[in-house]
Amino acid sequence: MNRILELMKKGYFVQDPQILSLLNDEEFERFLFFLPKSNEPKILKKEDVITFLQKISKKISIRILEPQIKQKISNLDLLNILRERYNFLSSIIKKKLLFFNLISINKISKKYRTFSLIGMVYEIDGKKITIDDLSSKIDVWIEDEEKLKLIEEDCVIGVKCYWKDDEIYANEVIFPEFEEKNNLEEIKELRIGIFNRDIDTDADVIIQLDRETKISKNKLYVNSSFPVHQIYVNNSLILLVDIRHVNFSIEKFLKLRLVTSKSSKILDFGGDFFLIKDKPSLIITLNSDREEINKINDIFLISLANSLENNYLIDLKEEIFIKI
Amino acid sequence: MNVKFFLLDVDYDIVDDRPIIRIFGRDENGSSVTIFVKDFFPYFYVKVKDEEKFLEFLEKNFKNLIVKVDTVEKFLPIGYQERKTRLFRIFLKNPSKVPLVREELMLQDFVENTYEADILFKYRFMADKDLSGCKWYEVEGTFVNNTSVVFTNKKIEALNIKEIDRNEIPKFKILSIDIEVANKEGIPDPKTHPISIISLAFYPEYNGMRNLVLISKRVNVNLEYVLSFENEKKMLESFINIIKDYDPDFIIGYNINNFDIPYIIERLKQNKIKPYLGRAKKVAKSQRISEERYKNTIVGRVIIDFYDILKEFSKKGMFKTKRLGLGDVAKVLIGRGKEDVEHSEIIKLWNGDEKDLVRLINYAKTDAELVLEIMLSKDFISQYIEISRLSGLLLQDTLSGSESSRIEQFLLKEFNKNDFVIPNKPNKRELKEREKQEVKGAIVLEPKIGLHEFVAYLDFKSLYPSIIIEYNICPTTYLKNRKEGLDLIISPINTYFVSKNVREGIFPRVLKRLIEERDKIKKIMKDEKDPNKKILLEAKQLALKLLANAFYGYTGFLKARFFVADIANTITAYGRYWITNVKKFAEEIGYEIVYGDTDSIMVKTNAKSLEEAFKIGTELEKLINSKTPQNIKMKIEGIMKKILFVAKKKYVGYLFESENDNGKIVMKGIETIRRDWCELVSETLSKVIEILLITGSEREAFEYVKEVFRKLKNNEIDVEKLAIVKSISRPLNKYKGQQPHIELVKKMMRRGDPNIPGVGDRVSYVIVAGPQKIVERAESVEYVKKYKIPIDAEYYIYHQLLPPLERIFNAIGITPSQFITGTKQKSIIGILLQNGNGTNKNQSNVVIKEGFVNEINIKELVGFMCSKCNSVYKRMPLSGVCNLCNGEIVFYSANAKSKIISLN
Repeated sequence: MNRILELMKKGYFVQDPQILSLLNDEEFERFLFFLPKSNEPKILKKEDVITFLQKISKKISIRILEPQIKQKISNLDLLNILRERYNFLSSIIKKKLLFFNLISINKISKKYRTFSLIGMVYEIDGKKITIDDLSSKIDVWIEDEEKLKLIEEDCVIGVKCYWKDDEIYANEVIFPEFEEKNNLEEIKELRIGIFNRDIDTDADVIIQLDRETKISKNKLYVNSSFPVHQIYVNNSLILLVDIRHVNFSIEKFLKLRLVTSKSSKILDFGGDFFLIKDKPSLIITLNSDREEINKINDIFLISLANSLENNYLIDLKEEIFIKI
Repeated sequence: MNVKFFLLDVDYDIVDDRPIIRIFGRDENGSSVTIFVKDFFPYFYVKVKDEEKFLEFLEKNFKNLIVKVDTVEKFLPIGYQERKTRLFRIFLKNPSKVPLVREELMLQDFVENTYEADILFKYRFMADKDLSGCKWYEVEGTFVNNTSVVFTNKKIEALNIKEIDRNEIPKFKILSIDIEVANKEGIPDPKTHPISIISLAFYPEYNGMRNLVLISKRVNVNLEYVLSFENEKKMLESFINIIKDYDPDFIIGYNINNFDIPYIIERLKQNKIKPYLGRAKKVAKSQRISEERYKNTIVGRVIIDFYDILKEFSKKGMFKTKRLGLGDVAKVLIGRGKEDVEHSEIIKLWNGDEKDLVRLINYAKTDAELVLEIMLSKDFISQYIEISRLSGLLLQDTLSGSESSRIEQFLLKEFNKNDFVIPNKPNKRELKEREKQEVKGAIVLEPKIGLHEFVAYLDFKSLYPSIIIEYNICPTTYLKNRKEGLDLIISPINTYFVSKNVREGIFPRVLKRLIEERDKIKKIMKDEKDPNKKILLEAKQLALKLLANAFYGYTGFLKARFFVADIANTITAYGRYWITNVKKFAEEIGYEIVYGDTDSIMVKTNAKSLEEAFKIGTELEKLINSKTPQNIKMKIEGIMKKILFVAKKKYVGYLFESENDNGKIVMKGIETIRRDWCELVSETLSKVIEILLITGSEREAFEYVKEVFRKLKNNEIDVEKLAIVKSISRPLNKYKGQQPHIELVKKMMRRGDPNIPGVGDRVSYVIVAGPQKIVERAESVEYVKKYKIPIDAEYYIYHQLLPPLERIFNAIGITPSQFITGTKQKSIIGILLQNGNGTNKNQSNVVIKEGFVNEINIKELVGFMCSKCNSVYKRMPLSGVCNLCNGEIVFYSANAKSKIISLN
């Protein structure tokens, strides 16, 4: 291949042909493939090549939170999982309620005219919700209808309360939002490939489905029978979610933050629960109705359809995905 | 001269270094008597290894204490012996020195053992002279005038005493006592708080007075029965004089043993007055035996605490009452209640105006009166009198003593009569040894849980006594090891006893006599027309039955003198053997055994009518008895027209003792009255039992309960029926943790309520609805009624009604959750994994029959449930426990509960 000619076809002139020797054939092909076509003549500088080389050789550490399947689960196991979730989420909410007379449910009495509580929603009955914490449970009336719509059973919320007659009313509801992190910056440069067969591309992270779960270099083999995977690439969290198995919206899924990784059965909670502690940078859902790219609360959401039939290469920098 | 008297009490005094026995009683003319007996000395037996060393030792160390030493030939108590053993018998001058000499001897290596070395002197005397409490005797002797040591009408020095055949009870003098202490706060302390009032009631009258109320301050009250004094000391002095003058046989009261008497004795001490409350110059003693219990002795008189007696009778089911307050029991027994004055009110009335004081005086007067009326209206004492007569104990010891003391005095006489000595009580080391030995109990068959019809109830007549008689079981026939050449009985557990042909044991002989005598009396009773005589006969036959039945328990009682593990085990082994055999036999001939416990079995007759059931039951009785030995026979107790088995030792049945009987509900292990239940619970439980057993069906009982729940939820139940009563037993700050009645009192204080209950008072409360903890939602009935506060239906359903009802309904296959409808069942997982709503199963179809299992497969999992009260939860509460009853939350399926679910 005549490298200079190829580059000229794309509108690039090489000032110093030496810089091309930094790339081997494979790398040059890749470099050419992803070089955007320039309508006006552009000079190819050494920095461009160096940057490209750095990109493709940068260290990417991939960590996957692998579910451990237990064969038997005790009532105490389940209790611990719930409590861990509750404790974690309430620690986020607590920070917003520090100056609002935060008490536990068993300490409620008329001596506090206003107070706040943190609880897990047990039941929703019209405008009245029942929440419980580690000490007890209680009924609270939610005044704000808009906020009421956002409340789900099992989510952990904070409520600022006051007494009205002998009932407790909440004039404010606080949800445990993810803490802001600049994860997006970190992975903005990434190209992620979701494949069902071996494909040679320059994706930084390759997720190959339907294999026994393991990690090899930047390749991640994943057993797609699990509905949810938490994949850490460097410090960024990518969630791979098979929406069929959770069967509700991603928004609700994020609110509850608790996932299990075994495929669906009625009341099947085989396997450990994941508690999504970090804010995901990216959520890739498989088997959704349509393919699109969205953002939820600054979280990149990429919905792919028929994942097992197609292969995708997702370029986060360009915010595109390509079917291969 | 000769005097006939009824023996009430015995003690002794030391005069000129010698013991003098004093017998107290009442003669046939109504005079109180003291009979002095001289020249009777305490003694005990010693088995010796080296006679010379032994006699030397006695001479050297105890010469001054000993009256004489002689030798006798006696049989030893435990184990069959062909020949008697040579024993030394030591007579001492002073009964109080016996323990000292005994202990010293036991340390010597030339002494093998001592016998009868811990018999109370009075009982040593009574056994030797064949005297018993509550019998009539005739004493031949001379009057003694020159002694002020005793205060009875007559004083006699005895030459000879013999028993006379007389059954009637003399006309006793009864004094009922009640004291009131008006102190500011807390429980009265006898060291610091004086007695304010002593109320006395007399029968017969004392100087024409039925009542006297003594007051420890000068008052201007125009009541003829009131005597006021300058101070407490003067009042107490007068009190002592009244007792001496009136000279009662019985001192009675309600809880006097643990309050009034120890309090009076302490106050006498504090006022430096000698507590001579008895018939001799001997101080009345109050000995603390535990934190709240005392043992009191007043020489020559008998203390009868009706609280103890009625507690006993109520336990036996002879009358029903939820609370044992004097007013409550008086209402039930004699139809007369009393005004309730809370303890904290007493000080107010004491310091109040004339009207207040009169109210307090009458309150105290009633307390003393009521006990006296209870004693006179019903016969509670005859039974104890008969037991005294039979066992040989004094009446006071029969009332306050244990069953074992009754048997031991009885056996002392019987063994001595047959030339046997009896063992000492075990010391600490021996007790520890005994504790290591296992005594296996009776057999209890697994009941067929649920409701059954026409069940025959058969039991062995006096099984254990029958076994003792049949197999000649006795310490005197017991062989530790098998001996050849002897006619032996070998038990199912390979223990050995010589047969009747070799020697008839004392236990079997005595039991046979007791049983025969009882049968004789029962026959006489059938034809007896005089109701008074009938009462006495009834008491007699009951005493015989009690003593006979106490034999088995005695053999297994670790502290018994005659404890031999092998003997107790042999008796129960035969019991198990015969029940097992009878069960096998009944099943072989085609009957189903639905239950069996120790000495009874319940057999399903499959009859269609009572008549048929009785026929079958009687036939079965005959068949069984054709297979059992001569002394071990079964009898049909009755037919359970319906019986519900809940668990082992827990059932309710509708028993007919004969075809023409009216039928009565019998309950075992199931109470319908408990102090921490409100009236609604007792009422509902009784009604449910009635419906299940008598009037209706399971469906009806179920609907009845649902209706009660519905009424509760709609506040249609009378609040009074929901009241729970608890007393304040100590100052509020001494309570650890929260309790509803205490929280209520605190609330009342904060509100500034006028009548705040104090220590010793009872608090009545209901639990109202609200967001706080249950314990903080206690409210007084008046307050709830006044402000129309809704009650917490859930509390009453889950905490009061469901626990006892659940047991009953579980036994017939209905779970409490079926009463509680409308609980949506969801789980966090259902929400996460399914269609967002989980399953919405209506719980009323869930039946949990199996109870707990090791694990439930995930395919069968339904949801979460409280392991105690079966409340269903849509998810595991974060607290991990049921918010109604604190039970652990577990998984449940259609048929079972488990703490584990498995995934494959």
